[in-house]
Amino acid sequence: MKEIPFLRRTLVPVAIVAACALLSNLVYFGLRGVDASLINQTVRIAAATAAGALYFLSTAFGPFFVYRATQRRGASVGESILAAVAVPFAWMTKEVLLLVSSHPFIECLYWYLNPFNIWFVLLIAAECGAAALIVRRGRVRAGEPAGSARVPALVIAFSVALIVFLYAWGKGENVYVIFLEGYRFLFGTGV
Amino acid sequence: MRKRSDAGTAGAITRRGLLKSTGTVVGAGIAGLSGFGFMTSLLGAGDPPAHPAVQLKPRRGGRGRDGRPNLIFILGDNHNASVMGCAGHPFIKTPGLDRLASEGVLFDRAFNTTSLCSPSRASILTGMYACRHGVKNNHTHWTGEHSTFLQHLSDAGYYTAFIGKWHMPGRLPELPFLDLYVTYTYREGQGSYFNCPMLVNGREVPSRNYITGEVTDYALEFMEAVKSSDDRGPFCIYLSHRPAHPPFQSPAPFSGMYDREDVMGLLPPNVDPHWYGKTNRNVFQGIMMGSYYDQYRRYCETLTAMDRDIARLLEYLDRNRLADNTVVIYMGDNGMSWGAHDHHGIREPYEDVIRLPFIVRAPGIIGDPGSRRGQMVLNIDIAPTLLDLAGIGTRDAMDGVSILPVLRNPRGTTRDAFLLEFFRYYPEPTPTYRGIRTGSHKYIEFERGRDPWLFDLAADPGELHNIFGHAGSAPVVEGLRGRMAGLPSG
Repeated sequence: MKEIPFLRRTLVPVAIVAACALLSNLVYFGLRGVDASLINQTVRIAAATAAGALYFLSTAFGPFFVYRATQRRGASVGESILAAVAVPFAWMTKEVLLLVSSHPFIECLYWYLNPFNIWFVLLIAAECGAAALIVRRGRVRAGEPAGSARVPALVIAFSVALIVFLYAWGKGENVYVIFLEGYRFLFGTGV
Repeated sequence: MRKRSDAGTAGAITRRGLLKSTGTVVGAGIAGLSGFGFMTSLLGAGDPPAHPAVQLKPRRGGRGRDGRPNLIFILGDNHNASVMGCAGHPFIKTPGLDRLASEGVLFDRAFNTTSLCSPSRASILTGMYACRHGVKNNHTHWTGEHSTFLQHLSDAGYYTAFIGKWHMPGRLPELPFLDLYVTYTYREGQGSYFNCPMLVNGREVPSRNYITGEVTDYALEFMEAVKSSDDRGPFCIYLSHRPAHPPFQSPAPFSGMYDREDVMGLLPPNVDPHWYGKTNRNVFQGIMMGSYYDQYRRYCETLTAMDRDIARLLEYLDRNRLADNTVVIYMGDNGMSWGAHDHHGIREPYEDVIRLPFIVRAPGIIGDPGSRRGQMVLNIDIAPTLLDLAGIGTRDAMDGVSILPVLRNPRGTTRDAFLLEFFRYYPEPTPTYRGIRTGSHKYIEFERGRDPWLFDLAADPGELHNIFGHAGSAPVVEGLRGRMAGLPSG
């Protein structure tokens, strides 16, 4: 099989997902700025719903698409993982930067560790595992070397179990409390 | 709501075991509590409450019943002042608060001075601004350096009870003067609506009940104990409810009762009812919300659930002929923004956030029950007002003032400006700010990240146009800055 250049095998899938996330974000938040007299409320809600759905799907489930697409284009596992986390990492960074206007930068960096991001990382791991299994099945059917299914299956099982456990434990609030205790341990009260 | 017969029994067994171990006597009179008719009819169960009897401490001063009023202060949580039937809300049912307002007065311009849970609660208890009592955000500890109104009332011979949400960081303070101390530390002191482990006089007691019913039961039990005492009071109860703090949960028959109510026309048009996936300005909370309209409905349901227990408490006062000599006050610790200014929650110094529901029923003091008051009153006024009602005078250290003159006289005066302050609270994206709110303007200076805000509240009550820097605003800003300089800082 002819090797696809790095830019095409990794950046193109990332760019597709990033474009979806960015455009839907602009539409979603842009609708809030439109004067109420200029747009019918039902239309606004329908448009916001569509944009919100796309924004959520592209950010939360984009890693599945990216991992699968990069693998099929011949990327290594490391490249696929890095490509898969690119858009979620950008989203997390946007959230961190939102705090800069009110908190010192070092404290803003701690926001990367917030419970939602931990869930998100686990979800990404599960998506990559699922994508890896699908890619493997295609390779098996094509008679190509496919590797073991054990690792991706374990990654999925571990990630999903941890997601469920962390949520079941106090509906996630206990994890958030630990996050805040970590903040106070590192930074005190902030004032 | 779960039936008491199965909801309260498990907790009762544990409590009884606890009481045996501590030598406390379970009051046989509890079974005769007469104030449970409302709940009993609601639940269809006739079981008596299963809480331990309160052991009253000898009253300081040892005076007999002296005619001073009993005091009940009820605190709600994140309660937007407009979300009450008596405030004109289109669908919420709050017969308890409506009754309180019809028999007392409803304040239209009640505010907090710091829009965050712990600082506001400390301000209520001490009568001081946050910069002076030191609980600046939900991370800073209550040091016990300043006395609460409960301490002063206990010193003056009141039986005192703290029941419900403490929610200030650090270890729970020891408040040995209290006759009953019921609270919780679960989940950073936020507690939970169901099955919240309670700390009763320092000992953990499991719960099997909805939280508003449980804390109200403790309040009734406390009053029952005072009624059974030799001198019968007076007493003061601080009853702090969890509603309506997220995540909103209510028991049957309240859960789902507003499913068919139209919320679309009630919330700002910029609200997206389905996703609300934004984290912009709301960080964590925004992600988790899901349907915004449904969140608002659940919010109303928790308030109605709380209201039902407020009504139950009022009924207890009636049945025990305590109503005529008991002042009942309801207030929220914060308001709550539901989408206005693209903002959800508390912290930001907008009117729907800083404005509080505030109702006072004071038989024999208020001569025009059912009326409204427009005077500017604050959370820091609670402590001096309660002390004034008890006839023991206010304390110099307090920043608030007694509103007793306003209760007596509809044309009484309080103040024409107050300090608005907020100390950054990680991880919420609101910077530290300090400002002033007068009858006509609001001016806010932020520590970082934002230009000052100046709103002409008379011309722009919705606070849609920041006129800071506009032509003609400089003299206004200068005047407001001058007035701010005279307010506490720290």
